[in-house]
Parts: sequence; C-alpha cells; structure tokens
Amino acid sequence: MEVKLLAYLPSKRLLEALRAEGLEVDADVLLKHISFTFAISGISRACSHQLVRHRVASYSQQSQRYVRLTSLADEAVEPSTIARDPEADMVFKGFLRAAEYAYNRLLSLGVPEEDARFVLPNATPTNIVVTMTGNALYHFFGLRCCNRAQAEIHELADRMLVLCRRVEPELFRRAGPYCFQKGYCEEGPLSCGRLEEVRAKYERLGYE
Amino acid sequence: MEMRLLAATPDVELLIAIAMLTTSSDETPADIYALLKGDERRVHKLLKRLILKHGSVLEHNRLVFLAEAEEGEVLALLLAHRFFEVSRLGERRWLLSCNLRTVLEALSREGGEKLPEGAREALIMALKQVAPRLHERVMGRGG
Repeated sequence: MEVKLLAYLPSKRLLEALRAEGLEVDADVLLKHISFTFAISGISRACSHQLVRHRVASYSQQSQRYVRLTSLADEAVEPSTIARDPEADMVFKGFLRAAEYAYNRLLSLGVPEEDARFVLPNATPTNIVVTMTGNALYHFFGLRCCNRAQAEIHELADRMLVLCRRVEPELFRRAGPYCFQKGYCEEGPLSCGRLEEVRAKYERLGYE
Repeated sequence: MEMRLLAATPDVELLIAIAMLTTSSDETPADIYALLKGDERRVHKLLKRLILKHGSVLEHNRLVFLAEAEEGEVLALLLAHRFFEVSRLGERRWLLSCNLRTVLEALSREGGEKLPEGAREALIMALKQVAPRLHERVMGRGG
C-alpha cells in the first residue's frame, strides 16, 4: 500500500484571506471548506469497496474495464490472518492462480476486459485518487481508525491521518477513531475495551 | 449577490489530469503525478481529451468563496446546486465552497432553479482563475 497527499487547500491561506476581510472562523468552519486529495495505490478491491461507501467524498479509481490486469498472483493483497497460516496461505494462493488463469483464458477467448474481470477476487489490487473535506475526513477517521475496522482500511486511515497531521497538525489534533474524538466508545458490547491504549496511540500518531 | 474566490486548491488542472490517467492506466497516481508535474503541455493535451460528462475527475479540488448576500440569494444558490457548502459568517456575509464539477454543472444547468444574480459571473471568474484551459474550452463553446 502506498498513500501520498497529492494536494490540499492550506487552512493558513484561507485564514489569511479571511483576516484581510476582517473575518475570523473556527476550526469547524475551516474543516467544512478545505479538502485533501490522496494518491492511493496497491490496496485491494475489498478495501476500495469500503472506502467508496464514504459517499461525501470524490473518487477516481483505476478502471477494470479499460486496464488489463497483468499479474494477480504476485500483486494481490493478502490479509495477515491468511498469510500467517501456512494452510490458509496455500488455499489463498491456489485460488489466486486459478483466478488469474481463468481471467487470462477468458481474454484469450475474446472476452473483453470488462467481462473477464468478473472472475477477479476482492484481493485484486487497485489505484485510486480520493478527495475529502476536513469534515468528511473526521468522520472517515472516526469509523476506520477504530479497532473494529478491517485491518487494511484501518492501516489506510491511519496513514491518511498521519499525512493530514503533518500538514495541518492543529486542525487534525482531535481526529482519530470516534472513541478518541468523543471520549467514549459507541460500539457497545462490540467495543474493543482498550480506550486508554487507543487514546495514547492517537495522541501521538503523526506527531513523533 | 456579491461573490468572489478567496482561496482554492493549487494545481487544479494537474489534479484533473492525474485523476483521468489513474482511471485508464496501470500507473499509480503518485507516479502519474511525478510524470506530469511541470509538464504543462502534456496536462493541456490531456484536458483536451476530457469528456466533461465524466465529471468525477473534476472533483479533486476545493474553491472557497466569500459572499455578501441575502438569505434568499443563498437559498437560490443551494437550490440551483445542492453541493455548495455554506457557513454564515455574519449578517449578509457567507463562506461558500464547492468543487469544479459543481461550478461547471451550476453554470451549464438549463431550466430548473436559476443562479442568483452575480453568482454566475463569480463562478466563471473562478473557473478562469483556477483552470484557465478548462475555462477556455467551456467558454469557447459559448459557456
């Protein structure tokens, strides 16, 4: 997984323009009006499916209709829960080889990419450009930095938060999973129960 | 209403080109950025290929406006396009923001709710400022 901050509208620029007009705004207003654009590559289609469910955002994703997959077995995203178990790893890799064979065979039979892709698994890697406002990012971090989030999107959210904190340290100081933002967990019986540990992590993440 | 651009995401046209190539190539967006950064000729060539109906690539940016307007005028703007974000800064003063897709759709919408007086000119001016090639292309067709 590679995550880069491609562009953002710096809060300083907006604050200076507002001050020139004799106006001041608080952080909540700023977060609503500035956006951050990320270049994300090498995540699984499973991860991008979860990502694009955050609808108050903009996405430009690599098309499987127009871009032919060149290698699946070598580039697929393998969850650590599978990789660490030799038998699970064998099942996973065997399936990838079968899926890759089926994809290439369908292409060789004249099936177009847009239809041959139906045999590709959720582990298939993808690239995507994502833009969210500061507000939308707070909500995204609230859900996806949570210990209950699946590991890949959790890692993605953490990396995006680090990038935001590097360029806007104060604006994103309160960002993190909802338990960190609110001071209590909303997950009820599903809570990880590690509030203090999570708080310590997100107080430091990106600031060290 | 009086409305003018206060600040915007930098390199808007470069971001549009990166988004376009991300969808149609196997290069990563970070590699595409490295390839296109500083190559204006190539960016402009890509923008000429842009199909404006595929508006999602126009969304990777933010334009922030300061407006002096009555509540009714702000409501008219929101009715003309639901994707404007609005904050009230004081009596008759508003902070408005949107992305370039919203700008182009608000400008091109036929029928329906009309943009309040002054908004159209402000949006055209902002388009020219942040994406001059796109402005040339859109306005070259008579808007």
